[in-house]
Amino acid sequence: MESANFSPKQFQEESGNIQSRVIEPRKIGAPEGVFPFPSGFLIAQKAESLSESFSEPQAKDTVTGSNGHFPRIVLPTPSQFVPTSRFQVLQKWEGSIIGVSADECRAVVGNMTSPEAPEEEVTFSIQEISESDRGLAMPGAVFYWSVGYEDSLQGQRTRKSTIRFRRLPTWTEKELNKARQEAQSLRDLLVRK
Amino acid sequence: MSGNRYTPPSKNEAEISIFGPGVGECIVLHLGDFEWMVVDSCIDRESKKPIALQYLEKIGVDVTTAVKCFVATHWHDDHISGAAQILKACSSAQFVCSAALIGAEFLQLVNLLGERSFMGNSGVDEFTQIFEELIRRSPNVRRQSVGPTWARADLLILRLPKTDRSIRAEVFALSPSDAAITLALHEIGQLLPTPQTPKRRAVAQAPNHLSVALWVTVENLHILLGSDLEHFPDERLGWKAVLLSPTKPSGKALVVKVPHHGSANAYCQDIWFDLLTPNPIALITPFSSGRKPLPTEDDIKRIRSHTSNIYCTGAPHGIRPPRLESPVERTIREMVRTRRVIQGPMGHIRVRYPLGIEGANPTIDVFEGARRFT
Repeated sequence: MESANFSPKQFQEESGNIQSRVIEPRKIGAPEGVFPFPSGFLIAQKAESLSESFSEPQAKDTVTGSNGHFPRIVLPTPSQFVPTSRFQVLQKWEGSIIGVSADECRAVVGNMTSPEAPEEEVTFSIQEISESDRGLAMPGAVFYWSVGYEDSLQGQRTRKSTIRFRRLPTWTEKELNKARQEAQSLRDLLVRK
Repeated sequence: MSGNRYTPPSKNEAEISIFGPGVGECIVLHLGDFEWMVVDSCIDRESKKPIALQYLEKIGVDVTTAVKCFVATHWHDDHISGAAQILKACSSAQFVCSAALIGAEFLQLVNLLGERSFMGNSGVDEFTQIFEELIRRSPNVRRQSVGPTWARADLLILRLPKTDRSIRAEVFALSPSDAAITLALHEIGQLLPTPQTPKRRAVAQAPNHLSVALWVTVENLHILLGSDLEHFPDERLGWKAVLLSPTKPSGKALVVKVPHHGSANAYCQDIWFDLLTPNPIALITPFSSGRKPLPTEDDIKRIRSHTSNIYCTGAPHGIRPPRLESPVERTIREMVRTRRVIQGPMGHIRVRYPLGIEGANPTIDVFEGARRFT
């Protein structure tokens, strides 16, 4: 593990459009270039996947600042989490699966880029869905489909399509029991015995 | 053929107006004496209103009093979109739906999947609002009596007798059969989610054998509305059960709404001989969905062997989607096998028939992309 000379500003720039908030270390009294931990070095608001890519910072020794002693933090190498490309979305749809067969999915998609456009029905190969999401491809599942350009830091451009399924919570026993009871009450109103 | 679309029928003129935008259908019937019924519902893409309300309002009908009956033949999205709005607007209309939905399982499904917060609109969602409206309409009535009319085979669901009007009108349900109801209760139960399974948007998957096919008699005119009722080898189900019923209404229909968009799985040769006049007026709504949109050329050919009067509310193959940016189009071509707009113009076929005149000729007009198959 290398120690990183990695300023918050640099981090903010490199993390692109990921919404994050960085607290300047100098404002809380740490010497320049040394990040106090755990007093809020990074509060990532919508960067769960990014924050998961951090390994635990290692406190090796302490340094002394104007406000006291701080642990010296050794950060993991930034190459693990710094985005290496930027995705420019040209078109985005929200879809709902209406049928799945052995090798293809049928879905209704709504145009999120031009919401006034009419809904379309599309069929596509099941292979277009990542293996991790394939189990979610069932009738009623909601997904997002984006088409755009991916620009790498090396300046290469690739046309790309991504399908990501929305992960909804699961039904609980309690919810199902409640629905059973409410259905019975509704039936008492609607159905003559 | 294009009479004035928004001229209302006369008192003694029956009307069958059938609407279809590609996926979806709705039928509006004039039962004489300025009284109407609506069967199923779909939404007009432009106005975002149920087409039945839009049409009736445009021809000057007061839907609060003149619509006597509203039937939701089954709960597939293409037949029930906007149904709750129709029921709310047609405040004196009796609501009719399939008796196969009477089970606690369907109501449980409505309760579970009718949450609009994250699942979007669906047939189930419409039923949530329909049941709310029925309860709202009857705040002081006793329990067990606010419900819909649960339609099943051989049930007279509407009678407008000649004592109250100058024209007799009756509506019979031809289906679902008892066996279909039993089967549907079981099948709907299987759609219920189980613990730890992910929440999803409701997708109507229930079978078509729970559909309500209707027989409408207005004076001397008989109309067969086939809904999505299918044909099965089992004589207790589908069209065989209808044909074998000893109590089915008598007479032969001049006009037929061809069941299930003309598909082969709803084709029963005997209905063309036993229930319909020779060379009847066959009305079809397309189903521009799936790999094999309906009706197919084979379907049309088969129907043509029974009649030359075939009308369809739109192009069966749907509409070409609008063109997107070039790189997007290229990506779509690479990964998508089929792509089509499912809601096109609201095709409209209108059949009018002067009542009480033997041998009278109907007038048929087509609007907004509806067509005759010649």
